[in-house]
Amino acid sequence: MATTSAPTPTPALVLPGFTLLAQGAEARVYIGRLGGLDALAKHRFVKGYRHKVLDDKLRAAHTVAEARSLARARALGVPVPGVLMVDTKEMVLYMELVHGITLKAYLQAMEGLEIKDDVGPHHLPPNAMAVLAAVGKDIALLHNGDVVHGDLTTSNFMLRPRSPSDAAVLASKPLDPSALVALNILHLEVVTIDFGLASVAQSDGLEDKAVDLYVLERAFISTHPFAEHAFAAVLGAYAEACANDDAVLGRLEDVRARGRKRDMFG
Amino acid sequence: MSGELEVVQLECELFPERVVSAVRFVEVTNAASIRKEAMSGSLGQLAVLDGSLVIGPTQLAIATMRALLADASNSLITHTVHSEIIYGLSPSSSISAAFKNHGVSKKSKSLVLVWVDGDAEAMKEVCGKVAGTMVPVGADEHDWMQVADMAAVARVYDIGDSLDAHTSHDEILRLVLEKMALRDA
Repeated sequence: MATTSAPTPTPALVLPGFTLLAQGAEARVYIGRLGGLDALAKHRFVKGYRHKVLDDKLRAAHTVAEARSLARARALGVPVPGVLMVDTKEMVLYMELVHGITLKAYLQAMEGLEIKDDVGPHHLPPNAMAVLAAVGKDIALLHNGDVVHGDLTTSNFMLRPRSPSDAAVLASKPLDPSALVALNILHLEVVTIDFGLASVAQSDGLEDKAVDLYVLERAFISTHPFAEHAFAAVLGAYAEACANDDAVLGRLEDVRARGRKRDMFG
Repeated sequence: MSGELEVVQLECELFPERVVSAVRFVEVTNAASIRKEAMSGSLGQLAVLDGSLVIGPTQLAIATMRALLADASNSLITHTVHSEIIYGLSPSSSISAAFKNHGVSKKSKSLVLVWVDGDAEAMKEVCGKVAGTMVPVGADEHDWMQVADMAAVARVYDIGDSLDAHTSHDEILRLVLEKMALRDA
């Protein structure tokens, strides 16, 4: 009997001291140490179904683009993981591991918080609103520099502790909502991660920027009960820091009305 | 030079089978002759770095791993792994700029010597030739940034625009490593 074998998955890259953390469609992410620092290694693996020459070119282009986007974001004043090393032979991007918790975990912990005041249900305390404002400001800084993140979700923002005692709060499992909410923005630094789909905005960039915000809004709505309130804090800070907020937010209205699909190329 | 050698092993995690040793000297008075010997090859196989642009063991280890990666894939740009370490520190793809900025010069006041799989006796002999004060290659970047010429770091790595009086050492390290890494990107 003839058997058809499934395409062999590309073997995992052997990186001494690194262990597999996550696998995506394009890359595997490993965690380990580099030069004495906690590090992530993002390996864009060979895709056997693509022509080899094309595959090599695409993997190299994506690896390099991600490293450049990270450097560009940092130059714009947006905290992002440091690029430690780029292996352009194996297509591995080595980055600083960002400690802390995701914005998603933070917001989920906030749901466990009982807020006793007269503002009403499904709202957030001031410290959380300030964290969300920092998120909005960072997106605006990226957009002012024409960097479009391309995959804004509540998992792609980390909250990094600024001191060991802050780190202890973030490390407790489960998270203690009341200890967490006591931390203000002087204790937590918002770090934007995963620039794997980032690009430089073309022409006026309005569509790309509006879609960036729209995708994040959908992420909020799908996971958090106080989404509307929370995302309003993001947008408020965005508008304050964005150079052409009227145009971008106007376009966001259009995108909301039709969905992001108009912009689907490639 | 007298007393114990302050040799430290650099953590080059991707190459656990290689032993990478580093020694640091400050208040060096005979850089010109060390440079001459390094160029003639009489010091053996090692990298002789000007210490003023070295801001810590992480930077050294990553420059070394870049060299070892290039060696492993037969893509050394320079002649040897050791010269590739000097090149590995550089944000510029120009080999001459890399050697001019990061290699020992006649005027070097501090030196960092790096050996990959170095022989203990040979290391001791080379260290004996350096007229200067040996200081430990500490893990603490703060200590390194006291010795380094931070104005030169800002200039060579072109990070002056991102620095102010409040920039943390962690952030300076990130900026420098990013400039090194982005040369290949």
